[in-house]
Amino acid sequence: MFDLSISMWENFSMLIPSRNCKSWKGYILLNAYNVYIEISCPNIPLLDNLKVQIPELEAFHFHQFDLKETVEIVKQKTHSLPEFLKELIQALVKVWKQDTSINLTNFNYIFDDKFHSVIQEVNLYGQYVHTIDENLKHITFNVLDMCKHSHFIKIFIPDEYPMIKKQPLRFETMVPSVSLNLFLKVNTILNLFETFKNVVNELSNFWNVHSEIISTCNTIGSYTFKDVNYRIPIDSHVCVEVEVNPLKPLNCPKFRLHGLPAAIEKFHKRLNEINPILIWRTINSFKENILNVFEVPTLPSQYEEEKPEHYVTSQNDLNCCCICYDQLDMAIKNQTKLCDNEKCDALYHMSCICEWLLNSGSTPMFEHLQGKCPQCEKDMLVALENFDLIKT
Amino acid sequence: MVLKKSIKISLLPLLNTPRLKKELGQLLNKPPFGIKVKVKEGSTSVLEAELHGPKDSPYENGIFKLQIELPVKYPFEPPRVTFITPIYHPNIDSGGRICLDILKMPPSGAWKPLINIEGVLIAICNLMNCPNPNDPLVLDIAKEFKNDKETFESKAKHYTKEHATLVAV
Repeated sequence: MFDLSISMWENFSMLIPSRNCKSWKGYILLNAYNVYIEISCPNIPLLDNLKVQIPELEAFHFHQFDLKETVEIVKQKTHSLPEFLKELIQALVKVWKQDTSINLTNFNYIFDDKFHSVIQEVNLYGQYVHTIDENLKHITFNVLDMCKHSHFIKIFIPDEYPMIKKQPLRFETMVPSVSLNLFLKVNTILNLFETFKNVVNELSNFWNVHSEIISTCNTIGSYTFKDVNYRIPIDSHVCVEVEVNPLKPLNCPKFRLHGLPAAIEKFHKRLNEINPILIWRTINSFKENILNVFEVPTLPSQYEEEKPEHYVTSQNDLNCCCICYDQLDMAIKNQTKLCDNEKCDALYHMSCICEWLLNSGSTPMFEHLQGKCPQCEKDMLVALENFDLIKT
Repeated sequence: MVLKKSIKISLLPLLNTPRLKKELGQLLNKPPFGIKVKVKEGSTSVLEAELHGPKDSPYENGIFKLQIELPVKYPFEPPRVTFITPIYHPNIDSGGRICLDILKMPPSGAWKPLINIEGVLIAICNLMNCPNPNDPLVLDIAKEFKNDKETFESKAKHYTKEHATLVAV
């Protein structure tokens, strides 16, 4: 495969292979004109299923010329891709000469320094090319790390390239922001790609940790390779946000606790009592380390991030029903319902709470309605002595 | 006779209940940041809201119109909220329907009469900020959000620009 790529580059330096060397895009020379061509050869080095597309030729109608047919004929005669291309070019040139209806000056293609310089730079790393824009506006490279994750960088090529090499190139990629500084002043595609490749290699430990956290720690939310902060549930209502240093990913990360104040208190205490750096061991897995630091047996998979209470604005008005917001007369006991939970200050009209409990699926049993207090979620029991009071 | 009575009930001036009077008074005078609410013209049970796309989300700079329909049984039933402005989101479909637990009745949902309209709107803002791909309404978008966040964000941004941005004339 490698030999084939070399021989392709030697003969057709303006063709760029895809990552797996199964398709090629670029330009071939026809009678001193550069024509854009796309070749796909899925069974390389065999030529079965080989397909060729030349959009510019298709736009012009050749008299009595069928590109597909020509490709089939040439395919039968040849045994390798470079050989095939040489033959194909000869065949195309022949048609060109015979068919005077084609006026080549009509081809509105601008072949310039930009293309030449891009091709020369990219050729060195052709196997990393993922996609290349037909108009050469941008090019995307793909580098695999040691765990075979794909890392992409999309580089935008300005129209004046390479004339304005002084300006840094624009690009899009997913790497932690600490590494981005390295890219900022790079002004050639080659240097930018090489920097990217080095960064991907240098961060190989980080990629490992990144995928370990996501696959083992029940993380909340979705993450890209840019992210260094992960939210890991350690309790059904508490999650810890860990911040991993991408340059030292095996070291103890920084912790930040999220959750209801009452629930996170004990973990805060634990973090203050111990020194996590001393507990964190590089030989342990990330999950084991988290379990040790917070002294929890497992990481919960069911995590309730924000209870609906969060959206409930507390009713400061005393003596008002929490449901209908109307005045309550506390003196009339059998018209009011206090929550059974002492810590909860919810207050309801008997009729309002009954209507809610019936609405939310509670059925009367032994003249009582059983359900949960809408404010504190604790079980509550409402006697139905005054069933006739329920609004209908 | 009976028929007349039922018509009368459905036309009940819903917005006149103590609860809605209080809620609306607060929403109209002191709306939370990024939220605007008004009563739909000529209606007694439908509100219209405008949400500003949360900062640092792909919906930033977009203004999203929503319709809030208050059922006769409100607050014993959740308001019916739909997006009028098209939005590209795993939990909101092309008809503007929103998949959010507090908009559904228990036991499958988490609506409680203590949640109010303001709480619902804040929850929707939160949902825009943090989509929940594990409970998707639009499967394709949820998959994309999980596997290719970059594409999701650029599409959502594009959608926002296309549909939710007012073009100065």
